[in-house]
Amino acid sequence: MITPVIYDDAPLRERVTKCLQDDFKHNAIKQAQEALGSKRSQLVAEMPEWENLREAAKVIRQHVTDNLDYYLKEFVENTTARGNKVHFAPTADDALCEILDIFAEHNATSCVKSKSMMTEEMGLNSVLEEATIKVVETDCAEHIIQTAEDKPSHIVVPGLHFTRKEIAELYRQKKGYTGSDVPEEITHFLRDILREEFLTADIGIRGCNFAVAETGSVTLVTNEGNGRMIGTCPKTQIIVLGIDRLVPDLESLDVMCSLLARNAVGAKMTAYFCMDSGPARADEGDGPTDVHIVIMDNGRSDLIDTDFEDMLRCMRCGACLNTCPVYRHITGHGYGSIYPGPMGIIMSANLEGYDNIGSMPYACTLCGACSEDCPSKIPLHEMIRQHRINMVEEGRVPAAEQAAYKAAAKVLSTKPLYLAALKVGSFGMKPLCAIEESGQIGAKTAGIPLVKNWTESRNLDPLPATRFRTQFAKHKKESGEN
Amino acid sequence: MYKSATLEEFLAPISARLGRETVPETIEKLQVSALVPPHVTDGLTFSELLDRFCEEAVKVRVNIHRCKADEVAGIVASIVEEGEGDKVIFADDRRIDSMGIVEALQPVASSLVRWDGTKDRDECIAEADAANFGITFPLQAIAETGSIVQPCDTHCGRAVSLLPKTHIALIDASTMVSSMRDSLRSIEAAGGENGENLPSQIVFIDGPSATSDIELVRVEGVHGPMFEHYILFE
Amino acid sequence: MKIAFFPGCMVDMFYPQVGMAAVEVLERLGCEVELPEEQTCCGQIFLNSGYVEDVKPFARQIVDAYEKYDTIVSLSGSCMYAIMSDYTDILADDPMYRDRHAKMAKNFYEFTDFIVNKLGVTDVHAHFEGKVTYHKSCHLTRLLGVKEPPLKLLEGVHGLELVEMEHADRCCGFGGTFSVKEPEISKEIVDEKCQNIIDSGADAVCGADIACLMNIKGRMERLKEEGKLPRDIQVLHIAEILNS
Repeated sequence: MITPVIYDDAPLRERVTKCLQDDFKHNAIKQAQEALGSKRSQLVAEMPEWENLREAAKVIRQHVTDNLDYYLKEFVENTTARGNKVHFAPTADDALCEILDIFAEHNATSCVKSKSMMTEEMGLNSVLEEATIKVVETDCAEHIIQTAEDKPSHIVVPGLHFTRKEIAELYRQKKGYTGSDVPEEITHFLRDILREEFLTADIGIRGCNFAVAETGSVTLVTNEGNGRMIGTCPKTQIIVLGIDRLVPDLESLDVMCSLLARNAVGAKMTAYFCMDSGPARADEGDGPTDVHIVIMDNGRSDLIDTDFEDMLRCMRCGACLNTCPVYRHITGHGYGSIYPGPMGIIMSANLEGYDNIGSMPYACTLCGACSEDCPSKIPLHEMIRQHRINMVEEGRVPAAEQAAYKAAAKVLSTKPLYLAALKVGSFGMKPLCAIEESGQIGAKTAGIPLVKNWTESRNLDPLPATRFRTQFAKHKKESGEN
Repeated sequence: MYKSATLEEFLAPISARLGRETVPETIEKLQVSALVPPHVTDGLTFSELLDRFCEEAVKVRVNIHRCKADEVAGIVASIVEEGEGDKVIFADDRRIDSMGIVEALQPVASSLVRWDGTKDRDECIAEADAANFGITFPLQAIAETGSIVQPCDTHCGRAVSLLPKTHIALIDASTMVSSMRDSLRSIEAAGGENGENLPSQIVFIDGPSATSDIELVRVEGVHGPMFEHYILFE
Repeated sequence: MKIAFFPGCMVDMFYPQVGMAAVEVLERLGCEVELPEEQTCCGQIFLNSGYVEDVKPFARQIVDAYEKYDTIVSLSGSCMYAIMSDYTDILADDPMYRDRHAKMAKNFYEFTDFIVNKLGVTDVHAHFEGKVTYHKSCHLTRLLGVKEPPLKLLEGVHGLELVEMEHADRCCGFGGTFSVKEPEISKEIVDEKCQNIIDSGADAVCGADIACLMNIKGRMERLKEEGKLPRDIQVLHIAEILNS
């Protein structure tokens, strides 16, 4: 089912086939992975304390989860004391209602947005547009996607699947662009048209990377400066904050900052890191004089004390995407969810339930590269497997598949059956081998359903006449005789 | 009819998931400082910190100028003279006068605007938007990342370091710290017990605004400055 | 030293020569190798597909077969990780097996780790002419943490020139049933692995986990049939090189 999170509900295989047909997109994501990944590894190599830093992040983030009610209360009290207005949204729908109320209160009819996954998660843009409010995404990639009415293919750099030519053409058709296909020229065109939007919008909407309980501060990491523009020009600001974004104090914030940019984009810092502690004072001359913070739970607290609790430590850096061997090929669109890659599989399943995610948890080789890179040491691949386990337990896999697995498990775990099967197997595979000149089981067997999926692209060695255990027994006997 | 949740209503299910009836009054706090390893720049000498700062800033495409305090005005004037446009906005900092910067700029700038946050808001923003150069005095500089720490207040609006195409940061070398951690510690100490004295915004700046959103080609000057100058004076 | 050998079912079924090579290496190093009759398969492939309940009989059977040995050498890092780590959860509610498993798990060594760190040997007097590149299997390298021993052993092989491929530690795309459940993605991943092997200039690729090698070999041979392999490249288990 299509939801704000799941934007493509076609079966996984169908989505994957489609993505693999798009060579540009496929290569773009591969190159992004290489570029971001290699810059990241270089920075990690320069830091002898990297593992201790990860451990610190893990402990701090887990400590907040373990005391989530306490830290939320502390944050709310302090941020209110700083002058921010806090709104509480147990669900995404509540968040939408709160935001619409804020627009009504300020008689606002337009807004500029900086990239925020929380607003994606609640489907804010379409709701605002239905309420005839003008919504302008201001992150370059988000603006491209919004203008093209498309979906993100990456969580940090979401528009890499467009060629420069397509982007230039898009703006020629829709925004009166007259320049060339050169990225610099297109970007500077965006600077000009978006500057106007920043200066005239009623409200700025943004997310928050980390919120500091001790001071009531909210922070925002950006490279393009659109987050800063939103925090400078519009008089009213709405900050959408997930309950899983809290850190206890500024000392903890330093740990997260040290990890976030390095993991997300392979840089020591992003161009801008803003820490806001209340609205702008009356004598400042710019900045928002009204700041509304909408704190959204939307199922996050339900993860506490479950197999997926560790996910509350996620800092949305995208490091797991940038190392995932599957994401590399199927891109964000292969997952059909605003949350792609390893973290995306888990988030999508947690948020949308097994009814809505098809076989997404099977788009993973369980290689563990994601868990190895995760800055807050989330055992991502284990959680993906746990989703599979749950799906099997809840009977959400095809009955025929389930029966086949169970039968095979029975055979392999029972020695007499195992030995008998090997005999039959080695006999049964002979005719398959005979089809190929190589003596292997090759492409010509691709019509046979059981072996088809393997042999479509790979040869399969036949079962040898004697098994290892037989050869070993013979060897033992011979060496005993000597 | 939609009814907003209260803090208590919002927290109750979360406390319940944590296995308690109410939010505890106190918790066992984490000794964060004991957990956190040192930054790579901790332990460097002052002059090493300055060098590292410059190296890191260059990596993020900052134009670095190192000089004596009395050379700052001349450098600022030459940046404006050689740069695009000639309208300047600057923070209302006593050093802008004591260092002779206004004086040095007068022959090369067609307009010189001193930020005054008490003026009409739209006027403040329009002036910054019209300017080609914005001059600020950061609170601190961070060696590990080559970043500067810019607080915003009535004397220096957010727009000064953001809206003009060129940002010129005048950095007193004595404000150099090793890492973000040192900077945040001093901000915390000055901010009062619960942040009541914190500025409404502190921005950590690390180079010009940039994007790689189109085919991963790096482009500078997206929404913020295209050019970032750091003048590090001793 | 008396050791029990755990070959893994894929070696038992498909690659007896690999198992025999490992046995011969161990014997040359002075080990008396035994193969417990009862063992069949560790069941990891079912666990990773989500069939956790069906893995319990496998876990009990492995404990039954191996608990009486002080030293157990596994030829598969992936299976061994499942046995050591996943079984702990699987048998957590099984009072009959829980503690016996914990005791047994401590006695498990991975083949290359055993030779290097338990026997203290890095030169097994093997001779192999040619350039060899090593594929770092995911579970062996990342989960079990066996990183250096295979490389040390390869460096000790006379005549062998070790060359590193790009992204040696990137998954080969096997992933147990992943390879047949999502064959299109699996093919893309193994294609890149093969390309990295080709680009390394190696005459042979080796690894220490047979499942990955079966996948790489299957794709390599298909590429060869399709005329897409610029030269012959052998796919070998490290045991075969150490026994040459």
